[in-house]
Amino acid sequence: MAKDKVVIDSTPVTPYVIFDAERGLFEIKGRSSPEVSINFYDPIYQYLDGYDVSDTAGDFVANFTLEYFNTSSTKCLLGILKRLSNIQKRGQNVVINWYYDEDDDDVLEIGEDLSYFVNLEFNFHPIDVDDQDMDFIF
Amino acid sequence: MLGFLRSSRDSSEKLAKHSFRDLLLFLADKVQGDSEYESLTARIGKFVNQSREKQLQILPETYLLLEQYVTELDGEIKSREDVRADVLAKFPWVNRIQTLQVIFIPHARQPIELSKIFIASVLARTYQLLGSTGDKMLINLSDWIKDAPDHVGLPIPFELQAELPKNEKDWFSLLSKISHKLYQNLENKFSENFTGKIYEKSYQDIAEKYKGLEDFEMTIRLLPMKLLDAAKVNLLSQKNKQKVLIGQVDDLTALNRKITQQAKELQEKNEIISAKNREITESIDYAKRIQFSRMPDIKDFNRIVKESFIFFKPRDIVSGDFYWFKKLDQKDPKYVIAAADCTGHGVPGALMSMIGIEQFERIVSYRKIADPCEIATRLHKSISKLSKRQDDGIQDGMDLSICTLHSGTKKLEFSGAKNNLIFFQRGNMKIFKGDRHAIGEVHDGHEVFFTKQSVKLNQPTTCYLFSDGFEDQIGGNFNRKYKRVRFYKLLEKMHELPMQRQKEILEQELHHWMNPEGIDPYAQIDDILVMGFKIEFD
Repeated sequence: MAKDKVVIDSTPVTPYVIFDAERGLFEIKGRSSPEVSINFYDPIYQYLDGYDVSDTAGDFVANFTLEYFNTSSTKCLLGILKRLSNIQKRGQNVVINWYYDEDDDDVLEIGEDLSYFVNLEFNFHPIDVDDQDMDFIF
Repeated sequence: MLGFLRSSRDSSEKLAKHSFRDLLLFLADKVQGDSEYESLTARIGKFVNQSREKQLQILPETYLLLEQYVTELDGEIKSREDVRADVLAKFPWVNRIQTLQVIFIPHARQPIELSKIFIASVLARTYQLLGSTGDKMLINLSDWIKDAPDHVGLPIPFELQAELPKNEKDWFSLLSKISHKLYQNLENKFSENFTGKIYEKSYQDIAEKYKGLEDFEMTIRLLPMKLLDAAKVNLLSQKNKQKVLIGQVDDLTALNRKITQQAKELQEKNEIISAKNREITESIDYAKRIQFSRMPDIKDFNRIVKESFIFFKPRDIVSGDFYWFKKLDQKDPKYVIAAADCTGHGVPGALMSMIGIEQFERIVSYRKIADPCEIATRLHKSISKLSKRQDDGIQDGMDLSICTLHSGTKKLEFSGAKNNLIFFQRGNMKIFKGDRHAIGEVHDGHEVFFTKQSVKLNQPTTCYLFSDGFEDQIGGNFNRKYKRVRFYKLLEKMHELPMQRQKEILEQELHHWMNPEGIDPYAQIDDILVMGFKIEFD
């Protein structure tokens, strides 16, 4: 069976996504605030649903590096995690790497919250982003 | 398929024995003794040093240059026809050199042959760049162009059969029509840029070789209007400029008519869009009135808590964020204050918010329930019932922070759904974190309940309730989220200032964040709501 590799470039309102069936790799990175989130995430669900577990050795690795995700996009992430959970149920171990800006508890909390809803191994990795002075306008 | 190009190569081999040098010297010798003679023979010397292939390529322009000298400098002025008759008598083979043929055919036929060479060159370039596209039209045209106008069998391309010329002199006009049609056709298939380049290059080709021909200027009519720049037209003699221009007046008139028609249609469509837009905006404006009429009057917030502000900045006209507050029980006053953030913004968010507002009315105003935890739980029950009805997998919900101030017991109680309460007492910041599930969010098998936190209000306390719109706003010099950490620092830094001043600071800080110097302004990404109030119970 031909191995899928899908790369979706980011836009101002949708994240960068890579799904590489041969390497057993899924990545999502950036911002997500489309008007209708499900339109963006539905094709991604289908790639994951169509993934053939038997062909890949080792773990399936999923990397999440979110910046801004609106509420409905966050809900769609749960849809992704449920599909990753299915991959695990079908016999391949799934590892989730959850990257977050060390100053951004919000993104960490989204990951923690989502981890309660699926039975998957989550690794949380803070990233040091030194980009902000704390000068205010007044 | 490319008969024209192939036969050119064949004849160059067969005719290799002919001396182009003799031909050119024959002309030069006619002006022997003239001051230009030396430079002409030098030029011929240069010519012979070229490869045979290159010679064939530059033969027409070299020949035409010499021919012109002969007609002008040979003492008595000879006509070009006379010179050509001389040449033909001496070198009968010139007629068989592909690149020279067009020079030695009867004068009236020259524009026709030039057109054929031009169109063939356009086709050849198209093939060269694209490979054989198997395009029937292109194949038919290159077959047809080879023999025109001598055959009558094949139909004229582009359904121009009706234009079949009665006289030979009208063939040029037909061929220029074909050239224009071909241009449109290629432009539609490929791109304007690509087609324009092919036409420019092909025209340069024939201009290089044949610009010395008497009627070469006529060929400019082979080019579509948009390729005719002033430089090309100014090259023409007065007579031909007129010819070309007159020939183009018709085109222009037709084009003008077409543009006028298109402009009219465009304007009509514009009017429809404007009308629709107006209609939609008006109806959303009206929806805003409804939404705001269901929310408490923002001015009343100062009546309930004297030192307070509400910074409310919907992304669109209507909002998914909303505030709500109510004073209960005149004898033992309790104040319920809430900031909510519904999934989405704009119209979908606003519809959700209307449900939320109505539920607040029902639970707090009519049932007189003041306990924030109970309010959150009841809201959750009614909204999750509604969101279950959807079948698209998207669950609508609401983030919420809600607090109740008890003036009698001097106590603040807080419950939150994904949102927090920040408050300051004696300059110290404290955070009450809300529970980590939204109102209305149902997950199979997970029981949802809300908790309550409370603090004594026996000292001045400044509180903030807010949606995540402010902290999530993208901007700054690094195109980043404002971030919670920074937002909390901002609150900490300003919390002792007068409340109205704090509202101004939020406004300015947000504006500054979204309009960094030297970078395009950022758009607001979500609704923004921040409520601040200072409580001092006696």
